[in-house]
Amino acid sequence: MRFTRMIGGGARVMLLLTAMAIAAPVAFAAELSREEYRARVEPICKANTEANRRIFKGAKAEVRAGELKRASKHFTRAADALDKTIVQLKAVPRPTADEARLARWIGYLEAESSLLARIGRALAREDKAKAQVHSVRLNRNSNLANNSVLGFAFEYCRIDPSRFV
Amino acid sequence: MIAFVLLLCAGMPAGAELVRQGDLIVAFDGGLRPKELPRTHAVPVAVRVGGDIRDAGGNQARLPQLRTIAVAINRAGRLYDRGLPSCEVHSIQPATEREARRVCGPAIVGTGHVTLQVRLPPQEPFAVRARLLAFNGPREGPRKLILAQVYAEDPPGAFVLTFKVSRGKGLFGTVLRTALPPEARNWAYLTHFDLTLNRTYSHRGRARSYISAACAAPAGFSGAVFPFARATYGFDDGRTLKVTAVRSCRVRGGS
Repeated sequence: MRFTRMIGGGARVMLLLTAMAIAAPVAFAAELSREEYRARVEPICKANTEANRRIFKGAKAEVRAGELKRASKHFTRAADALDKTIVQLKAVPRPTADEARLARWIGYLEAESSLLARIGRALAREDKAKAQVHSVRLNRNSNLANNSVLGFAFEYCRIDPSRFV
Repeated sequence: MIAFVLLLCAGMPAGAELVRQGDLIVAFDGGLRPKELPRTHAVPVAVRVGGDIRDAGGNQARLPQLRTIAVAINRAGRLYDRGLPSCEVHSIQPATEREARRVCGPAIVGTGHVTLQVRLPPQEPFAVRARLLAFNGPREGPRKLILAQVYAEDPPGAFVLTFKVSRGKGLFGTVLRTALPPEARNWAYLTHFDLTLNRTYSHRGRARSYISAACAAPAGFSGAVFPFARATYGFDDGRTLKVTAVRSCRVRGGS
């Protein structure tokens, strides 16, 4: 019985080692370089950039015409689109060395989405002062987001705040 | 490496917009003074634009040469030079800064600085900080020119950057374009520039400003966030990098 147990224990160890041997290459395969990470996330951001082009069409004219409730919908939709993009970005494995930096970047993107939604809500309430305050914050946040991932030389994942203003 | 990039970013002007392509990092900064402006009619302002060029690895000696700069300013900013004396290139080149001021002082429209990395083999590359004086230049066809004299005292040296000013349609109404002059191409590697345009003068009894702006916020808004300017940097290795600076203004007297 004891012998059997020993064999059983040994088998478990073997199984564990085998599992580790299989898992190790998988873990290594999941480790991405900066270039690979960039290649994975840029198409996600590109889709968001293109969606934003459609979403923000006419927004400036509506704000200028004082149609703030209508204009608010552009910002709400942009926030929703960015939320979906963030979910996709979070699913992409990150290079270990850049884990903290990319977590910070994602944090800025979440703040970006929150600010877009706040601008939308402020416009819907026709609260111009609040909309303006959030716009200034949005611009500052965009810069922080872009500068935090400068090393990745993103093209589409770089926020272009001029498209919101 | 990561820390290095952070340090380099820390060396860039705070609040500047940055763009990176490969190992090349460019920054663009600038703004308007005062920030509080009338909503509809343009008033005298000072416009500052500036840029930095860095190598991501910190090796400035391998920076490509910046050959062209185009700064496009939001259409809310307008240049006006009627009644302002102008200056010709031969009056300020060759000349020291003092001579240029003496001959063309009334045509000065702005000042600034330039930092150059001088590469003159077999010498080791070295950095030179030079003063920049911007003069209202002659017209070239329908275009205004701004002549920017870059003058360094130690070691002494000077060249003139000729900015061609064009009016365009769209968001960025005024574009200032310049190219590194051929005589500077074999030694001057620009790593920093800043230029402030802020000339006021009197013409036919009226106060005028070389550059004026309004804060075109929508009705009811006490301010606006707007794309202030876009810089396009062209390098000798064929790379072109664009950076847009977004800034805010307040409407004088609130909404």
